[in-house]
Amino acid sequence: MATPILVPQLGCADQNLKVSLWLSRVGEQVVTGDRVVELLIPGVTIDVESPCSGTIVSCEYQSGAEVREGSVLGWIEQIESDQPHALE
Amino acid sequence: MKTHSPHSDLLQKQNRAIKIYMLGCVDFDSLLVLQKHALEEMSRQQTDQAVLFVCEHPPIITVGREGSRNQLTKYYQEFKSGQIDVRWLNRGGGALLHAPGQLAVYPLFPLNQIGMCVHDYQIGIKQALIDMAAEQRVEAQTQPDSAGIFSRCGQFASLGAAIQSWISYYGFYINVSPDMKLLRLIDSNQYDHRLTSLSAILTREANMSSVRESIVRQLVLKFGYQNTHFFTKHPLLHKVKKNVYVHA
Repeated sequence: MATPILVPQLGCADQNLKVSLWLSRVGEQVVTGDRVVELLIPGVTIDVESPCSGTIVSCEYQSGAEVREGSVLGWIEQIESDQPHALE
Repeated sequence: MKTHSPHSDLLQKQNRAIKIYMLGCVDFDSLLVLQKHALEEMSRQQTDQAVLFVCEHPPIITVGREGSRNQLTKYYQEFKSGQIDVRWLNRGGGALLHAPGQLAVYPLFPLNQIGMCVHDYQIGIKQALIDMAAEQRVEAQTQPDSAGIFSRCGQFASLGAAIQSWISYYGFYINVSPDMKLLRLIDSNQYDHRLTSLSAILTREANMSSVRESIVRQLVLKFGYQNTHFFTKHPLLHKVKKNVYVHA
């Protein structure tokens, strides 16, 4: 199951928000909380953390691309063991 | 659902503690070590306690994510021969030359714990700078999509911060009374704004202690910290000998 990497709520809707750079590549394994992508508003960089453990399968925006809060930056193919257990 | 009464919010704010380190002139790399250590500790603790480092740096150039090599090329050889190091950093803002007389302020605020978003943080820092300048009798303003703080004579402060795990680090720099010939060796902004200092705006020597006291007070006020602990040294900070560049 693929999980989206989302631009978090920053409260900066009226500002120029860009992807600064990717800290992980497609195919790379990450764990929950790893820094995967860096965003930039004038004067401040913001690290976006991985929402789950798994493999990065796509990067939807390249460095310099403008994004908005809620934009899907990329996708992570979740590792089975990291998925929530179904209720019995 | 958890509810907060205004009274409990006030009590919570009153108990917020901040450690303020007034460190004098500190080598940039040593500051990075202190900052990393504080950041790791704050990530572990997950409390609303904040840390503030206030210092000056020996001459060094740092380049943020909005900077480029173009800002350095003109005098690059001079920097190299003058032993001014260049550091490429993951902070916002462009290239800056740091030198004594420029106040470097690094506030580490746990934004989640104090209920602030990135926008609140950015506005809080800029407003603290504007109010500090007003206390020095300098009228200041910000400009949209710029990391600078400006007066009628030019840009006197720059924001260059970063946020990791919702904790702010790096911070901002105020040109109080540095050697402006040295600072203007790099083109520190893309908008052709003239770089200036508080001393140049006031046409008299701005008082570093007064600026330092004012900006610390404004930050504490804007970010709701009531319980302040001041330190003039840090156990991880050791005295180091370093060659200091003197611009001819």
